[in-house]
Amino acid sequence: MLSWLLRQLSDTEQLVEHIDEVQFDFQYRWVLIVGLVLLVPVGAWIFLRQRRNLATVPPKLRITLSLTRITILALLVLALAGPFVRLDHHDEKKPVVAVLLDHSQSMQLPAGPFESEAELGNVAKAAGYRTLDSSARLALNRITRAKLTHSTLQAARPFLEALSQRFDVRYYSFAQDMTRLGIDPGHPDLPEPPNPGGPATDTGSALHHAVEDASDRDLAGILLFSDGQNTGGRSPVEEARQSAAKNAPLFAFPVGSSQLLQDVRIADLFTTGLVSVGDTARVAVTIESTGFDNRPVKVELRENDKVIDSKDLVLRGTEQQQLDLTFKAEKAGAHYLTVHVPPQPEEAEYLRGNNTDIAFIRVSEEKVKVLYVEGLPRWDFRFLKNAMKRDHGLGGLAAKEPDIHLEPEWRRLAEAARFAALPRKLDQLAEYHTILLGDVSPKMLDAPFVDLVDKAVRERGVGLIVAAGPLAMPHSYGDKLHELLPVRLRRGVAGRLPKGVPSFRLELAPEGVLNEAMRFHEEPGRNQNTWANLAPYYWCAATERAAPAASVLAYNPIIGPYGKLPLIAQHYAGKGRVLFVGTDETFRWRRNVGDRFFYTFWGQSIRAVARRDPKLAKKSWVEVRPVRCQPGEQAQVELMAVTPEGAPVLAEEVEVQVQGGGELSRLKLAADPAVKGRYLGKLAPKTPGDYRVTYTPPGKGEPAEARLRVETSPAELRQPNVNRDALRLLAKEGGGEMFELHELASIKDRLQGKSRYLEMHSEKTLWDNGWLLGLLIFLYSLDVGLRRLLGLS
Amino acid sequence: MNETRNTTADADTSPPRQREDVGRISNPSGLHERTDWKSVLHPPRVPRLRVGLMIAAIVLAAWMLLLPGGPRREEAAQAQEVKPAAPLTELGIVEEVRKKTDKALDYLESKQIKEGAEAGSWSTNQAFNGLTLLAFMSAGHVPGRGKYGDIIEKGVVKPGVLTRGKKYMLSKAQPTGYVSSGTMYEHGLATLALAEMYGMDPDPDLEDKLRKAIELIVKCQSPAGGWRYSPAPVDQDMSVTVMQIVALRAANNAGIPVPEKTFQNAVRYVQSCATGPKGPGFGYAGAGAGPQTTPAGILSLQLLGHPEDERLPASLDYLTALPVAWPGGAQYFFYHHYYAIQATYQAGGKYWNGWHPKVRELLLSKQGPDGSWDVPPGSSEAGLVQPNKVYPTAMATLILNIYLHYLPAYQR
Repeated sequence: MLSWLLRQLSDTEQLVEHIDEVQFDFQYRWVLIVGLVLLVPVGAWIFLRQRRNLATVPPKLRITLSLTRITILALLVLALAGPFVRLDHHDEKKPVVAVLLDHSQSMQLPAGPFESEAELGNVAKAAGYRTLDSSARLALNRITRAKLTHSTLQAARPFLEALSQRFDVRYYSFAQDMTRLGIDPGHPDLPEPPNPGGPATDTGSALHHAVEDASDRDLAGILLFSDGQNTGGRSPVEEARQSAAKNAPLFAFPVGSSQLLQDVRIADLFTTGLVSVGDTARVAVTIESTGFDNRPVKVELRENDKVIDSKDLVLRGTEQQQLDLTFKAEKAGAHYLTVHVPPQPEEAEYLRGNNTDIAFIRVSEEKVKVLYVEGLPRWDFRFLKNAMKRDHGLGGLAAKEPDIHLEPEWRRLAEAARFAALPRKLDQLAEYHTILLGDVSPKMLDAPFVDLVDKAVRERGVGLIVAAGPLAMPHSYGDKLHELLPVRLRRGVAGRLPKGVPSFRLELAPEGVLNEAMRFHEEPGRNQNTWANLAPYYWCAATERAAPAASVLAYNPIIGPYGKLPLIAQHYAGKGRVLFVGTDETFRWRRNVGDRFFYTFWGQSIRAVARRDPKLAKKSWVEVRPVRCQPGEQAQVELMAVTPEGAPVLAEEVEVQVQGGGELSRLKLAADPAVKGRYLGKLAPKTPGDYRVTYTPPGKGEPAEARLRVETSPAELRQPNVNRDALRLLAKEGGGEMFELHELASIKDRLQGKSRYLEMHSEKTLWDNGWLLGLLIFLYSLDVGLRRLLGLS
Repeated sequence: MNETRNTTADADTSPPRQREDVGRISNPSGLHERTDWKSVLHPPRVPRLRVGLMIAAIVLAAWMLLLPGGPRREEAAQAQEVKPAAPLTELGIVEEVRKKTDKALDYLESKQIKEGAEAGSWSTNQAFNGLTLLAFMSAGHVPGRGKYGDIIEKGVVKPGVLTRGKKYMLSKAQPTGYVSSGTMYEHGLATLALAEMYGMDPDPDLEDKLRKAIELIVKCQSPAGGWRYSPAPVDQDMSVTVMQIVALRAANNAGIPVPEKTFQNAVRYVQSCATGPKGPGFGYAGAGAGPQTTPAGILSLQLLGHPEDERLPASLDYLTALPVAWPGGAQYFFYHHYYAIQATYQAGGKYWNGWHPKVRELLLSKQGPDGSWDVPPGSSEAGLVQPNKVYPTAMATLILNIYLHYLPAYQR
């Protein structure tokens, strides 16, 4: 009622929101007092006068008339006294302390064993054990990491409660996503950690959201409880630096033993992925081991259950060991290979999953014909052309190797030879599957040639890759070339150099996560991680935005006039696909790993945009990528459907059978309008297991099959040890420090932040509103009306 | 009367101060901020109680330390218990190496002459200049970009390390194409540096002088297929030959044509320096085996397209059996390791796996606090250490930066 009245009398919502603190008062209290005091004799005089003058009026009416006049006078006295409401509101916004709890699957691993007495003692102290008896030891050697975090925070409750006096302590649970736990900071009663844990660990995003969530006040610090194994998402180091830039120190608490688990694991697996029939593909395996020094093992490469290659290795725990296994590509099609290291007897059951990994190799019968024209022999060119020459799946029109032209050498040719160096007829140019244009000047790629390229792409479906550069490409070209590109650039600008930042970074766009050109790893999270950690670069093209209907695969996250700058993008131009690469420093992706990411990107890109030739597909094939995913994650299904006679199957959609996870279902694939016989769809299996996707062509055609392995959190167990180095680095980059669990209380003085006090003082007068005026008019009208009715003057 | 005032104040988390100390600043939004002027003008003193506690803690700590056989010593003993380290990952290696070589590059940058007739150089010896430019490029630095790139200030371009170095080197190139103030050692290394820079710098003078430098190397090949100190096709030895071969391969990789015959003759000469048809080892001026010339011979054959040559396995065994020591292993420590790391990297497998950790750990442990390296005591390279330590520092950087895989000359 009061809030309604207040709303009517004053239109200030603030007063209503804090109605408990509202006070009524009068501006001129003496007027009120004097007026009310005088009102008594005046009222009495009015009453007596009315009784004398209106003796013939019934008493009730006479009293009413007297009361109306007295009430009017009272209201006038109240109005003259200046009534108002006052609000004095004080609010304190304490600085935030964000407590991030890692609840990923790896946190379900045991925190122990703790073999060092000192460490066991410290962990027991942290977890709230008063004595270290045998039952405590047993419990601590079995407790999971997540449960240890929970016990530690429960034991530290007095400290956390005291902290909540000075800070707004917020608790978050994170794995692949992050959620805020609805915990009362003054009485922090943490819920049990989830089991199973989340399928991935995205520490970077968790840090990012913690900082964003506290944007309206100081962030005094971030406490991160984790085992340090990050498996995807934003770069944790970058986000830690952002936190440090906002004076929010990051304190990392490793959860788990510093004792390394006895384990042999496949840390990494790499194949070229794309080979031709007759090639010998290399499968590079990186093995890590702890606790098995000098133990001989046999590393096997299998296809189905057949061992096709193996190598002996003597384990060495000091650093990673690499070895190469080989696969002879004799049969065209998709090959699913497994690399396996037999588990050692001492390895715990839950650690045996990382002894196996999958490699996918596609063996092609066809050569992709490539034309590569480059300006100066920049480093990207020098690495790329050698890698292309080693790639037996690529060729030229007549030569076994791609046709490569370099502008400085072209300039040294005679005039006639220069003209003849490049194809000058559409039929000739359209024989290529892919054209790759580097930083070539318009002197070599003259207008007629650009016209030819345009026709080859739009009308014949030839694929085009444009690799930008500071000398000419594409800013020195006209509209014809620019219209082909999946990006729009600032015209006439030769590119961008970092300004205000030491270098540029690359950010994988959502469309890039599953894109075939951008796939370094089969797991999307791991893929994102790798892209986020590629070396920085120092030049990019002056892109502004994506062309209509283009897909941006990677960004330079610098904000331009239209948002983040597209760095790698693709689209269809007519029948052909065009990919734009906006930096000339992809050679930096070779850091530490050589061709691995560098040529994986280029090799996949050349094939991804390549002109599809349905005539070459003699039989149907189906592929699912990635070949491994987690329950609920999407995988793309690609089908090339061909009749037994070799003609493409033409339909609006076709069906494939999906068997796995204990179920048999059918999936519809939609026709690709650009390529006859090609069909695409998406699959998101929910249950772990091995899946087979089978297509049976019409007639007596041979069925085509693809496989998919669905596993829960394989990346989580790839590195089972607590990664103290990663946490130490994160804390250092975040302006903080790494502490052990029993040292939680020591961060108390390191948390600094200022409360923001909001003082709201509001005063609103009450007399100047319609209600009082209305009441006065009503009373006056009542008085006059009654007198008229009674025939009084 | 109608008035609304919102006021925010920032205060630290200690007990609230007296209100009369508070000033007020208004801002256009109507919000008033309170500033604790007293704390701004007179920073708070450390409370007496805290000072007293600190003194008491220091006294107690000193007393505990002096106490014989006290528990502190036992705890110290426990802290010394060695825990097994996690396996060093590839990324871990690269990070560790990068930090050290970045420091080395800062050192090298500080030693570049910035002004005068010798601006852009580190030495009058073009070999040192070439090696230093290569050291920068091995870390991924290219002309005009990044930390050592050109700086534009008020429309004026201030050249960076590589641009200055390139200009100096090109200014000393002779019309014959000879880029040296002395021997073919200098010419080979300077040409290699120019070849690596070519393509990343659009300077037409660079392309022109590089082509001439390559033509000179081709012309100076001896009838036996090798090269020696003077730019004349007279004589040959392995130590000079390998430098010309690397330069020729780098230029060829950049699209500059080199006659096939030149390469064939070079193969023939290198093979002739092997101890025998199956190695092991390569000699200086004929058949033999030496710690410097063996890796030079191995690398030469690998780059000339003969990685499967039957002389190589035994030669690699010979090489990788040499001690990696400071001093020790080779008379010319850095020359030996510069070619040895490339040879084992090209070979890969057990040769690489067994060799690189030893070399890496040794070099990282010998870096000076200023980022430089010296030569090992008693080394024959002592005469190459001039007032600055450019030669050993550049070489050590090049050896360690093999992990980065940036330099095109290093690619497999």
